[in-house]
Amino acid sequence: MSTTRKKVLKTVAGILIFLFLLTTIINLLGPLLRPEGQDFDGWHYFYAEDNNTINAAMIGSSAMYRYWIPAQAYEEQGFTSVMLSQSCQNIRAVPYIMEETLKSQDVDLFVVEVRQVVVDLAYDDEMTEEEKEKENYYLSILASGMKQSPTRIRMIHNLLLKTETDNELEWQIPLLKYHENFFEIAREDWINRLSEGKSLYKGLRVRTTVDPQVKPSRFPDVENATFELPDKGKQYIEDIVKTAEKYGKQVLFVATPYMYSEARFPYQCALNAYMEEKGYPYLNLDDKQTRQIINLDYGVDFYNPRHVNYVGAEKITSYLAAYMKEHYQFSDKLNEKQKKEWDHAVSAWDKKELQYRQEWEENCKQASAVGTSEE
Amino acid sequence: MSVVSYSFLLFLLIVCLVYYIIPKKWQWVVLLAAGIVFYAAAGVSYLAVVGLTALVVYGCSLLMQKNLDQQALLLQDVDRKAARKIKNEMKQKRKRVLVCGLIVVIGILVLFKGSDFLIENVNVLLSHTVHRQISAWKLIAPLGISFYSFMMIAYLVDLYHGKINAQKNFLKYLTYVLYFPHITQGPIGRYDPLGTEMFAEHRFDYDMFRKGIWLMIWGYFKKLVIADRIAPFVSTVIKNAPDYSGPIFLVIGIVYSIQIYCDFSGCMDIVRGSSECLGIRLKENFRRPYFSRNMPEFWRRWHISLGEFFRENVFYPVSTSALFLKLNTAGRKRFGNEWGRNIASCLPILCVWILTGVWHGANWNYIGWGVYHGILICLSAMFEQPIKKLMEKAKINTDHMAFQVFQMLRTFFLCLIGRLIFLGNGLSDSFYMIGSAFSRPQAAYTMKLFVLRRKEWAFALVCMLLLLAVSIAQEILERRGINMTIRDWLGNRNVIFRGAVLLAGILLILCFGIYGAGAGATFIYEQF
Repeated sequence: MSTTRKKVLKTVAGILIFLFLLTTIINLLGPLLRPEGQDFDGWHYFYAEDNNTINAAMIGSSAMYRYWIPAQAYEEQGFTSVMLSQSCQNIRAVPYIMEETLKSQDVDLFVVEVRQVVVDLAYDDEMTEEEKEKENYYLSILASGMKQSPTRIRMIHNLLLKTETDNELEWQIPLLKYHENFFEIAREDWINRLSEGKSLYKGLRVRTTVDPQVKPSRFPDVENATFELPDKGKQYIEDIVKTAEKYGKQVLFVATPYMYSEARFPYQCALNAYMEEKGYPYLNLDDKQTRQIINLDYGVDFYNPRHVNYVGAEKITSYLAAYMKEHYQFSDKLNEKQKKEWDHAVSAWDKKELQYRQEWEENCKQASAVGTSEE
Repeated sequence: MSVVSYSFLLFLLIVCLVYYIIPKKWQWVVLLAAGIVFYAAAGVSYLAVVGLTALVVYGCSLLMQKNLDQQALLLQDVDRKAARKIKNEMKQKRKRVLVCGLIVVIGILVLFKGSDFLIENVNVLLSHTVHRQISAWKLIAPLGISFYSFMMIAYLVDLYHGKINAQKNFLKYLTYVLYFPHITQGPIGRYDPLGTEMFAEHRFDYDMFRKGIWLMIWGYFKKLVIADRIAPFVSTVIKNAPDYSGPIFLVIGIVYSIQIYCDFSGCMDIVRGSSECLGIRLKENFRRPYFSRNMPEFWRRWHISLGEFFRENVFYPVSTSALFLKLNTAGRKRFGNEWGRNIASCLPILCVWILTGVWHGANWNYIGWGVYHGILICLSAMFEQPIKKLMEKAKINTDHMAFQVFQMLRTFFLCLIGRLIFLGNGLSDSFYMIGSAFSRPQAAYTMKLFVLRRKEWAFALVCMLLLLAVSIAQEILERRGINMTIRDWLGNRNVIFRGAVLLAGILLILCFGIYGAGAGATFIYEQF
């Protein structure tokens, strides 16, 4: 080989190595610079879990993470779970989340909370600029902590709404979007982000405040459906089912209870009817039979009209975990060290529970005092 | 399209790829197309303004070239006396064409940049009369009009003097005008040698290409990491100057001096770097101006191309004009040879500086700033010899480093005062800031006053120290007569070191630069 040719090859190799190093560092820095907040930490905790130790992936919006206590489920039923839920998680993002999950966790079951189907359908089709920006903000919660991959690239490309301030290039390269956070992130948070970062409570996100609700006079039972689920809604469900089939995994759709608004109620009924008609594995935690078993106390189990507090979450978790254990096979994925880790999570939760119980009782007293004075 | 946008980087990459792939005789066509696309991104109507102005200048240049060719023919086999007569006659004819060309170019420049200022001041006069006020035209100036207009003027003047040959191909001339690296902020190029270099064939030169990239990275570092990081502090205080008092204005002067240097020289580095990627060298426009020991030296190091333009097209013509010669003679008679000459030379100096102020914009602050620097230059010229004699008498070693540092700090301080004049929202604001800078503040300063967080200031300071270290290294190399730039030095290091420096530079910019949606990065000199 001539000297010139060798020189050219050496130069090209040097450039390629340089570009490889640069892109690797950029990709590593991106998730590290995600905004502060529990919502943005979800993927960080997920990636921190040891590979192939999770039985069930819990996917959804706050309609999932406010209702599920992973340590309790492990304690009562012996299977592990991971929270892959964020505020207002876009239902169209679920197939991508499933794909991303399977890269490091060979889960036995995907549990997908479907409230966002109803939320999406109840929204106007024409979104204002502000609404689009809000929607993109919710997407950023999901995307910011996600590792760079073709899955993430496709998710952003397909779900990002065009606005004046959102540049897709910056979304695809998170460092470009979040670099200003270098000065925003507190020292303690840096330490957390750079350390192993496994969640002590396995992604627990429940509250202890109490906001008494009035028990609904009507529930979105199938017989209350007045119209068919719109095609858009059907497509959301189909995409999730197809993704599960593609990877040979089981999926359980779940609907958690809340105060149904006038706008959402008919869509919830339509969704329930559609799921029954299609025969998809669907657990409506607010259907006639189930709500009697769970027996939520609307006076003390909610912290706002759309979410239960920790007491409500315990009841939901107990029921749902038992249902999952009964209907699905969960393999034993943990070695001794990992079992100890989950046992530790259970003890931590037990301690935390005592504190929550105190807070909750205090909040109940306050709530009832307010109720009495209003009367 | 801003040179700090993602689209510019993609644009440059595509232009470079096409430029080196196509047959070399068509490379100039790629530059023309790139220039049109680049400029049209700012607005197609502005492209029309540039194109029409260029067409007029092209027409004038052809007439002048015809005149020069005729002159060359007529001068064959004639004696000296006849030759002088022919030259004068032909020069007069050329002058008429030159004047027409200049009227068009300067007229368009004044129309866009100065019309509202003129109307505003006419209205001030009219307000004392019964006549109705004139409504402002509010014309938006085409991008880089000050820069390309001066390039056109320099082209016409050089041609008038017979220093260059006219470009006979209009498209090639348009390529020179619209050359995208320099059209928005300069440097104000001269047709010779830039025009020649632009139309030569360029093979891909890896060494030049990578050095161009390094220069661009250095430019982005100065602009995005330093200038734009500290800009909010300056703009917040300047917007509400009367709400502040005390030495904070000195701090503003220092910070703005660093900001404007990093902003403008950063842009120049990006522009020169991108031009070097195409194998075309542009002249340096900044040479570490804050290392200057006096004001004249400062203006030979800051915005070098503008200084050269005014020197050749205003200073020399004025100082060789009949009026100046009369003033010179009268001054020498009255004040003696030395003082008389110095006082007379104030006329061309002040002309240059008033025009320099006006070039920045039709605004009393800019004119005031120009007059301030003009006075400083005049004083520098007048007192140069007396001060030198004083230093010799006092046996002060002016070559000692301590004295040189004193001179640099003094020059910097004088510039700082000029910056406060430049920055104010009106001359009264400027005078307030200067006056208040040396008084006690009315209230204690808190961190909030300095706008940026402590972390940001600490980081900015580290970056400024890095800039200072590199600048000192460059200055030392130059003073020792070593014909090597920092890039040459870096090029001689081993590949791992080079790669590490490059990686660190790019990551610094990506992690700490002010850019992206919402950052709205613009250049200070883009407005001129």
